[in-house]
Amino acid sequence: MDSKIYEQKEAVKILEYVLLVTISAVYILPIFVVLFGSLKDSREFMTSNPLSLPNNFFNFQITGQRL
Amino acid sequence: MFLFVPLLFLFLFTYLPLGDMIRLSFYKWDGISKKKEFIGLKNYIEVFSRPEYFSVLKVSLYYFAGSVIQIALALLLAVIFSKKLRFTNIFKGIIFFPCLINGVAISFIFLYFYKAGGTLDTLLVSIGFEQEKLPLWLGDPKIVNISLVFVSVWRYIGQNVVMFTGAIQSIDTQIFEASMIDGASGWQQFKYITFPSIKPIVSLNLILAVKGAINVFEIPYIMTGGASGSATFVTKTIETAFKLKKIGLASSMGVVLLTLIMLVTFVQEWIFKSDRQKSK
Repeated sequence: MDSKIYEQKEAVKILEYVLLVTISAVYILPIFVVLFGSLKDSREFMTSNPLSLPNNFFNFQITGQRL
Repeated sequence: MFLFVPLLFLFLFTYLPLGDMIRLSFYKWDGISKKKEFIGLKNYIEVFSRPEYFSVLKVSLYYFAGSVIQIALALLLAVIFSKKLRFTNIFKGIIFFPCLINGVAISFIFLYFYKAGGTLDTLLVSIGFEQEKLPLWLGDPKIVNISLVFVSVWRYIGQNVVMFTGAIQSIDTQIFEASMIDGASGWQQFKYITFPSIKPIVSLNLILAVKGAINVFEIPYIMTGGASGSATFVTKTIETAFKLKKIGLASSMGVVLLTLIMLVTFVQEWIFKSDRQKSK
């Protein structure tokens, strides 16, 4: 009897974590896509998948002139 | 005596423009010319009789429905956050973060999120949808309001969560302990302890949601400019005043909006007063 209640509580806990992680993903994804986009140069920005990571995370050059 | 200066500013920057707006709402004026034509109540008749001005309030219903969902979800999250789980502070931070971002930045993030081939499309294609069959999230009049309401919920849910968590934390923990000894389940605890204790805050949030739903401005104005059926009353007012140059008509729309908001406020006062008397 006790173990049954315990199992139920564990299941609820797992459900709660799943919910929290999904919602956090919904919050993080749009922001990170724009952040990654800001680190790609113009050509990479146009051609690559929006969800892909930038080639170079430290791409801090002025890219405006190099279209 | 010292109150004179703030009172002067209040009068100068709040009541004088308000009086001016009410006065202008009886005139026909394009905002530039020196000639103002007094036309009485004609502006108001136009606001109420022409469907393109008054029917935009229907869009507010979408936002109101969205905020009901937002409050329900915020309650659920607040209950989860009030339990002893790991990493709750990180999750709380993530959900509150959009409240700190500027509205224009949020609009930009979601313009990129919704555009054809943008974040959402890429995500759906990677699950297995076809790009050609996906709708234009901000171009289709049936979907555009739902998309924008999602942005609004995304942006403001953090405030509700923080408010509700604070309210739940102010409940005496001994009550929860006693109910646990009596064998109450999580749902019973919520139904008989948590919800009744934070009911005033939930109803306050609901009324604020009504006001917010009538007042929606930033997100539709920046993201779509009111195109394809996403115009709200406020964006329509701005458009009437500064694009169509009908200052008089826009002023009367402003007065109508003010009256609506005041009505909601009176209803709120009335509800809270009767609540307080009940509890005495």
